[in-house]
Amino acid sequence: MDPKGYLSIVLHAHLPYVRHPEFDEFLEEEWLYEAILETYLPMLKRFLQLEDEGVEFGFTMTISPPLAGMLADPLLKSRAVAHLTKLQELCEKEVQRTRGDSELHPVALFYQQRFADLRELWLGRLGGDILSGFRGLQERGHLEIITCGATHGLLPLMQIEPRAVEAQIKVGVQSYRHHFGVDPKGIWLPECAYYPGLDKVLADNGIRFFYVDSHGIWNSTPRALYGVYAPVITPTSVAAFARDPESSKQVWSSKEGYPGDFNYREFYRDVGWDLDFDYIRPYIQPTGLRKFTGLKYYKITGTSEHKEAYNHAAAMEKVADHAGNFLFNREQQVDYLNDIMGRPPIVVSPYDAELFGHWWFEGPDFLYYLAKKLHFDSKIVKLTTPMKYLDAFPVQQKATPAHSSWGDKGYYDVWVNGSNDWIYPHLHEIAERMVRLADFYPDAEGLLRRALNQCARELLLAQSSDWAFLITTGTAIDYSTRRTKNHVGRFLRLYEQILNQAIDERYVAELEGYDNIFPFIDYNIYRT
Amino acid sequence: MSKPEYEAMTVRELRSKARAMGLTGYSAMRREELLALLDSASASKPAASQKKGATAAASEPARKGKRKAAATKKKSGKPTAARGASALQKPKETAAVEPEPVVLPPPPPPTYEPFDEHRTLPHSYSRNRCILMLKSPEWYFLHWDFDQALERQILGAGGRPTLRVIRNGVRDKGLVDVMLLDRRHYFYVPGQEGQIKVELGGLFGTEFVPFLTSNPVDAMRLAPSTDDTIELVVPPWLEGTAGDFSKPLSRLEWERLYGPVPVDVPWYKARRPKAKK
Repeated sequence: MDPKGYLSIVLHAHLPYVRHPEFDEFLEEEWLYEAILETYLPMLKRFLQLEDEGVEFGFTMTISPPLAGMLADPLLKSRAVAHLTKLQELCEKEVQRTRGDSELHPVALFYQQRFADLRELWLGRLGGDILSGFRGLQERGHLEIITCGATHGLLPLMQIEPRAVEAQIKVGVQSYRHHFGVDPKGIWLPECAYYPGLDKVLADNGIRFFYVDSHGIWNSTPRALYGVYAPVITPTSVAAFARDPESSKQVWSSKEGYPGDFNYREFYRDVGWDLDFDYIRPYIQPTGLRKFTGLKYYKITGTSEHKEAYNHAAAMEKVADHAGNFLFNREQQVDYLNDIMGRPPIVVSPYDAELFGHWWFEGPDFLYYLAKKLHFDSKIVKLTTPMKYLDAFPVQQKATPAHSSWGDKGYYDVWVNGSNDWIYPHLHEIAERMVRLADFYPDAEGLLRRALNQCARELLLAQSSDWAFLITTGTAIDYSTRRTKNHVGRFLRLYEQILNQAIDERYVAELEGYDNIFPFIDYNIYRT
Repeated sequence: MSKPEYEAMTVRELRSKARAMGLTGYSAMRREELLALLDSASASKPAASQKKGATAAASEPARKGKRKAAATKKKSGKPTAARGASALQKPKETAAVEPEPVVLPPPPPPTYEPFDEHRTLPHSYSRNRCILMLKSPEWYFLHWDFDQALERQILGAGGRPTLRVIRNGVRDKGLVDVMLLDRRHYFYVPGQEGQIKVELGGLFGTEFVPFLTSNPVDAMRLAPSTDDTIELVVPPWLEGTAGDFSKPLSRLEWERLYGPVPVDVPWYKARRPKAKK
């Protein structure tokens, strides 16, 4: 029997390119290590488990080019493994320390087992290659991996230099080809930010579908008849799917959302902050400042400061409940929509992948139970991916979505405001200079080519929307400011060297070592 | 640097040292804590200092001198100056004691600290242009740059720097005062349709003289379209005829389903704060 409607879960995995070979340890690099241990590996583990259990499932997932680059980088890989080793060492000590504590000891044992399992998965089954795990799932039809802008640059703010927008898309596609061996069918626009006309660039690069936020479709021209519950086809023949606000809210919202349940793990209580300084000293920052280690013993418990020990089994029961509740709501929704639409709706639920596991520790388990329940229990809703859906329903309405992003307030305020607008004069200037360089020196060879390619890397890295985002949220202002200034400054210095015909090979080589993203890049993409 | 040398420094110097080393959390620290922090940090980063190669062998005062030279270079706002030359400059007090060597030594290897390579960026590229960007429906961000000649033409001639908005080719009657040296301005243009451009110029008495014109920007749509055309298509990369549109939603049903369309969409984006505590 055909289902009454479809659910498409989209997991957007992205981290900015953070790699500092010039330091032995670097705090911001831990964003990657944490995401590996809390999100990517647990997610892979659950997906592989679904496969082993014969469950039919299909998720859509972005692996952004910077993230793919970091996951494939040998230096970061070895550092991430060292991070896990150290964490396991702390875990061993914790198992000893908590012996006799009937509440915390089971949690310490749970972590000991968990890290051992993840290590086995990572270095055993996957041979140390996380990307290969995702690639395999895609090849076996369980994942539809899509690409993203090259460095997650916010495209609507780059429109003044069309080559800059094109390069973000082109390099995003090249990076995907480099890591996954095939062409991407879909793209997650950085921050879900779309402007009318962008679809032409996507079409030129062979992209078949992308996503917009709900109001991108609500305000489309002409009016989208089925709103967010059917894709529209843009005039350049690219499909645009829109986010369903209802299902997003159930997971995202800090008040009504599932992740706030009292049985789930509390993120902010971490042994890195809780334990005696001398004891925890080897596992925090080398400067002696405390940090999150990843060992968190308590559950959310309630709204007060009082916290009780985390009980994994109880949390698993709860997460299965929540998956059931989510499915129930989707069935109701789809049933209702099918009735008034007279056709099966598609409910698109995109999330930041790092929500699952990093913020919401039980998130990967939620996806596991949800896929299982959908497969075994539901006759009304079926999990799908955009290409599967379009193959089944190729006839769609033609329309152009409107300006939109999934940022706070729905447009670009997060990335251009009083705190970070100083970035744009520089970004616009160096983008224009990049185009000029590419036009001046077409098909350069040798050192000049290397310098030009490095210019392209510095430009792309400076364009990362993460810097402006982190400055707005006030979480890593100093770091983001430095990153922006460094990439712009490096570009300007190289630019001057190139025009003066005085390229310092040592400088180019050093930058190639530090900012080594996109080994395949060809600056000629900027030519007019 | 060794511990006694840190001890000779003031708290302010220690803080700037900590910043230069890429450390965090130093701003609230007391002197003793700062000393401990710097001490442990320099002990844990032997590799970083080794990277400097030949420089590491250079004597401590010489390195200090270079750092000072680098600092002056940064202040001059020309970070792209040839590194070899600026690294050779000696601080004044040293120059007074030692005469300049006749034979120049070979240029030293790069001594910049990669993570702090660029503390400042040029505040202007001396170009006459202004760029208009959309920020949100009805809100625009304009940034501009100018050279000295233009500055003279406006400020030097007693003009008041002013913006004028052009909507669909029609110049607004109202003018907006701006600070020329701010090089940026946010402004509000109500109305949903059409193309917006901006002129930047000077107000001389009552006469507005435009000098720069921005790129045109299409205003954002912030309400559902009134166009109800139904055109059904199959993208050329797909095949088939499936897809039932026999029951399109009426405008009433559509509004019942979606309600009034929100302009602000504040309920999500509880995105991971990539936080240092």
